[in-house]
Amino acid sequence: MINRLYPVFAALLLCCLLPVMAAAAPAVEVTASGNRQLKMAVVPPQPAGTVIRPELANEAAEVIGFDMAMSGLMLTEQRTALPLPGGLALARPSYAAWQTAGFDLLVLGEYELRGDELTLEFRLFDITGQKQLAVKRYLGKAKDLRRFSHNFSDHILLTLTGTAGSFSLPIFYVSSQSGNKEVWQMDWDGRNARQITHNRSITLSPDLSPDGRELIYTSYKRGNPDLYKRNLASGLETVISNRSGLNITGSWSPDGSKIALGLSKDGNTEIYTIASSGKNPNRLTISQSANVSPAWSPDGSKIAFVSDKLGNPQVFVMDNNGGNQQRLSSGTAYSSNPAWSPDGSKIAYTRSAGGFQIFVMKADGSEQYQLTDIGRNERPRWSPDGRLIVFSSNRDGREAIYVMRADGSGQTRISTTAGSNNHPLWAGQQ
Amino acid sequence: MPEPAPVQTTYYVDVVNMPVAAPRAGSPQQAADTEDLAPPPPPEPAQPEMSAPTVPVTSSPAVSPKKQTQKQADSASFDQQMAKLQTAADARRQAQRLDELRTKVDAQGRSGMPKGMGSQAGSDYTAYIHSRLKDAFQETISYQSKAPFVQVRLVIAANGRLLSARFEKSSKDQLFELAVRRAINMAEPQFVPPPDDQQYEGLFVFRPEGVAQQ
Repeated sequence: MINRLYPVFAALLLCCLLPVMAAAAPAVEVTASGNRQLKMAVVPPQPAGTVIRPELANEAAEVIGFDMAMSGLMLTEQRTALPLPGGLALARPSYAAWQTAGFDLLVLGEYELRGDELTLEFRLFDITGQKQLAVKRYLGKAKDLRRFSHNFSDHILLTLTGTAGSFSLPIFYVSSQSGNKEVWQMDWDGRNARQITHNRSITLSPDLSPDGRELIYTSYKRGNPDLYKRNLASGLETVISNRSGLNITGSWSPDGSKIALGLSKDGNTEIYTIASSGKNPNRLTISQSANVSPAWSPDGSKIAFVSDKLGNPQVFVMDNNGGNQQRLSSGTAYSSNPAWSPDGSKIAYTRSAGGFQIFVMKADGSEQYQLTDIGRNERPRWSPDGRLIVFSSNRDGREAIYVMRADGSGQTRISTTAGSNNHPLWAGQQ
Repeated sequence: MPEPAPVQTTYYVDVVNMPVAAPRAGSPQQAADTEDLAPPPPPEPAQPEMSAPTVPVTSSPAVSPKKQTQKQADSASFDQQMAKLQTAADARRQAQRLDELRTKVDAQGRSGMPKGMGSQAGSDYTAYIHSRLKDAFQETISYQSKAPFVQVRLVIAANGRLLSARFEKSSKDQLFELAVRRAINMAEPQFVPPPDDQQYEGLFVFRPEGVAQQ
């Protein structure tokens, strides 16, 4: 009986295997050389109503063009085009003409002003694929035009790469423009600067809570460098650590429950964690040297910090309970200001190399490479999407805030406020 | 409006498949009425008109002229015989080889030849699609990770239209995926119907040149 079934089994097995065998044809490899920068045309939004404000339309196009150029992914060009008959919603762009002109992507827009009320719409088109990739419509005031444009830039990057940009998030920094070192806020491109603190004292090392609502910083407003917390919506400021000695370089944990900081209440400065309320201090480092500038890894499991226990300050890393301390920076050069990249794979820091320069290394301390080489450059912080690094530099005279791509290219001054500007922090990061 | 730029026309010359006008892998079967149009069999090799060259003979004072003439005639006759035999053997070998090739083609077909299925190794159609994709990919390649790749299964309908492009594996570099999508879109208008008017399915792996397989 079983012997008679063998041919049936064999036939069934063959039937099952045949399609698999047919599908297992080897894949044909398609390769191409180079890595093209996409070419994007940005057309100023066309008016949809009776009010025509070409300067607004041009400003929107300039914002998107600059954002996209700084992303490093594409070359942008502002182009004028005839308004689409029937409006943006009904008409199709002339793909063939744009393709002939050599563009890969196209941004078109439409705006309508009624008094101060602004309606703004942007659309992103793939010229080659001849299809619309993204559309966003914004309702607000005329003053929101730049914010809306930055937001669409973020959306373009999200559409093209899967990771949104950081262009609509502000940068906090310390400026002496008012005569005192106070915390200021500006758009990532330096526009719309406004003062946040008015302590008429020295304010240093701002850091933003993960939910973006509260800012911590060290202020000498009462004589001692104490750590303060400020609610950005209400402006309410409370002291959260005023222990004797230094209360400096506060850093929020990624979950917002703790703050790591340097305290010198027991003599030399050591790294502690405290609850976000300022209670429950927990000492993490024990040494005869100074330990400052804690920086949480994005997953909260590790803390990078600066210690001079080997002589010159060096960057170290430890577990979030203080264990397993390891040195990351190499050589004897002065190294400080560690900042984790948002994906946790790299650490940017300052190192003395013919003046202070910005370096980046892998999180294990390997592959250290230099990004800046002009002037004194300090305090790097990553943009939340990890594409850009903001830092302070005195290359043009007084200290100012600069931005560069994560590979060191595209170094651009962004702060326009007078005085000395430093201690930048890109909102939205850990 | 963008300034019009001169249009550059690209001409594709498929060197591999020069004998076939279309990149399809030939017709499935040769029609009966086209047999008359088939090329004639190769002609029989013609007899050499000239006699075989004679071997130069050095004069010897000991041999009489009459004997020498007879010897020369024998030698020429022998050479002629040998040349005939050689030519006949060559012709037989050539005819036998042609018969073998005809038998092979009749039995299974060959890509680019009558009865070709387009599915043989080195199939013309796959090569054609690959060539179009490669050209387009050169125009669109863009990526942000170190070793991006995308494996795409293309299904092309009998009429040459792209039915589906399924991304089966990817290194998750979205910019690279977009570049591949754009390359496929760009290449699609140049797709032609697959051989035998059958649906074509092919697996293609896109990656930057010089990036090793993961």
